[in-house]
Amino acid sequence: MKLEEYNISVDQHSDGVFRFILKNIKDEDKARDIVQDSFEKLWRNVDNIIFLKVKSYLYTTAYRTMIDLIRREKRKEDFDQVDVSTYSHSQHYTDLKEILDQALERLSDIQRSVVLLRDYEGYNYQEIAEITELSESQVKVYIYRARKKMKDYIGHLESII
Amino acid sequence: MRTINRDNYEEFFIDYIEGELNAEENLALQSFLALNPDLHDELDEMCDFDFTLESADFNANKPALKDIPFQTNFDDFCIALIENDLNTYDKKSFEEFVAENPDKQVDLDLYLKTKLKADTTLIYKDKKGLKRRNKGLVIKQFIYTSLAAAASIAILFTVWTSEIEKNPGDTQYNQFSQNTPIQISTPDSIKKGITQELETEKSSEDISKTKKGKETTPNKIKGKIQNKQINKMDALPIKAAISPKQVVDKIEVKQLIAENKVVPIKNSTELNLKLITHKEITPEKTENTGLAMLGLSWKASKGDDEVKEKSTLLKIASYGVNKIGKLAGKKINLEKKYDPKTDKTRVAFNTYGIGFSTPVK
Repeated sequence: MKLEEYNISVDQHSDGVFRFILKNIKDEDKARDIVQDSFEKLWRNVDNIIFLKVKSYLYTTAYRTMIDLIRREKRKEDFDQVDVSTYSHSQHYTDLKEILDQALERLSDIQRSVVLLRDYEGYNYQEIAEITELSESQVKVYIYRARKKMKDYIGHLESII
Repeated sequence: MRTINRDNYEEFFIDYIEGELNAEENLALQSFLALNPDLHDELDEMCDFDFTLESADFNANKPALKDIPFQTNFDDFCIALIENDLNTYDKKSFEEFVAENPDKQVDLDLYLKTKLKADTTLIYKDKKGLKRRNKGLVIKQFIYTSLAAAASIAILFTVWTSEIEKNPGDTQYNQFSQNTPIQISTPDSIKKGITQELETEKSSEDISKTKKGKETTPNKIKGKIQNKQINKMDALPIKAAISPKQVVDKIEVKQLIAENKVVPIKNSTELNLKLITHKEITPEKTENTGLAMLGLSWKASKGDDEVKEKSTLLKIASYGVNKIGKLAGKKINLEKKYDPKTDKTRVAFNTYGIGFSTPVK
């Protein structure tokens, strides 16, 4: 990849990678650090990466860096262990976006990541599998489970509202 | 004309049915059929085939839809619909099923809401920081920047030193540097003090020794200070107001040379000491020590030329500082500051938050 192509990659993908990471970890500074780190790694390997594969490389690098960070911090609890009712009564949601953000937060890290890659970036199962180092069928299962959980959460809130 | 045989007769049959055979080919076909009566039935079958398109009646397949487990696997079908995993037939069938069951439509709507949309207001602002520039250009710019910075500092220092030279008669201020020999002319008041101290010592000594001293020591001793030791001296040149008393405090006088003869102080009988400055090294020759420290040399001339040179140097310094400011993303200006205590004007700029670095792999 050439220098010009690298700089084009910055323009094309930095926002997307930043959004993807920020939606996952909800920490703007750390998201920024991860984006910076990912592009730093890309630059170090700029001679070995072709321009067509740069998006996949960036998301893969950013995702793995993020997972390392999450593992270190162990800050999230899995949706399975959360009682939805404990959240639903304390806050009132009027905006679907807010509700979706809350629903997204209650997914497990891997479920959230695959859904975001699917919806934000429009990756297919195979591409998501490559980024997350899962099998295609695993990705499919995670997405199906995530959708069902999100639907249950939204439905639960809507019934209360 | 084409010839018909058992290998290509189908082609002739089709052309015959579609009426595309000419008279000769038609005759050849009839002759071929006469010779091969077994193929006559095949031609009859081909002629009976009706290609008219049947009207597609979707309702005709309705009983088959019941076989698709929409009821039992409703959630899976909803998700598959969102994910575009259903084929056209299944998708249409499922949509029909939902249309017929309004209670299922609510659930499907909830599933449709789980489809996320990227928030385009969230952007990575510092894209410029992520971008790279040509390595050669970076090195060039770094070199130019370094040179500009070095030149600015050198020029600033030169301007500063020339400010000191402005008042050469001001003996209160002296400029020191580690590599500059310091010659000190001791004033009369100090000489008297030293004389008194030595006289006190003298009175406690033996009278006979005093007499010998009188014979050997001249009335007036001219000498210079040797083995002087400066106790506190910074690496960079310093500008300090040093009173004559302080200068003496910092100097350890080991011995005095009087008229090229080493004379121990204790043996002096008449200690009317006169310390003079070495004539060969004068303060004028130790100018611009700041530049000397930087390995450069420049000596400001006096009069109008001096003003002209200072103005030029200030412009160069200002240019260098502006360049540094641009690279650092800060606005830095040269400022002239008048210090009423010292009655001096200094040219300076603020360097807070400015650093130079180069990427290292």
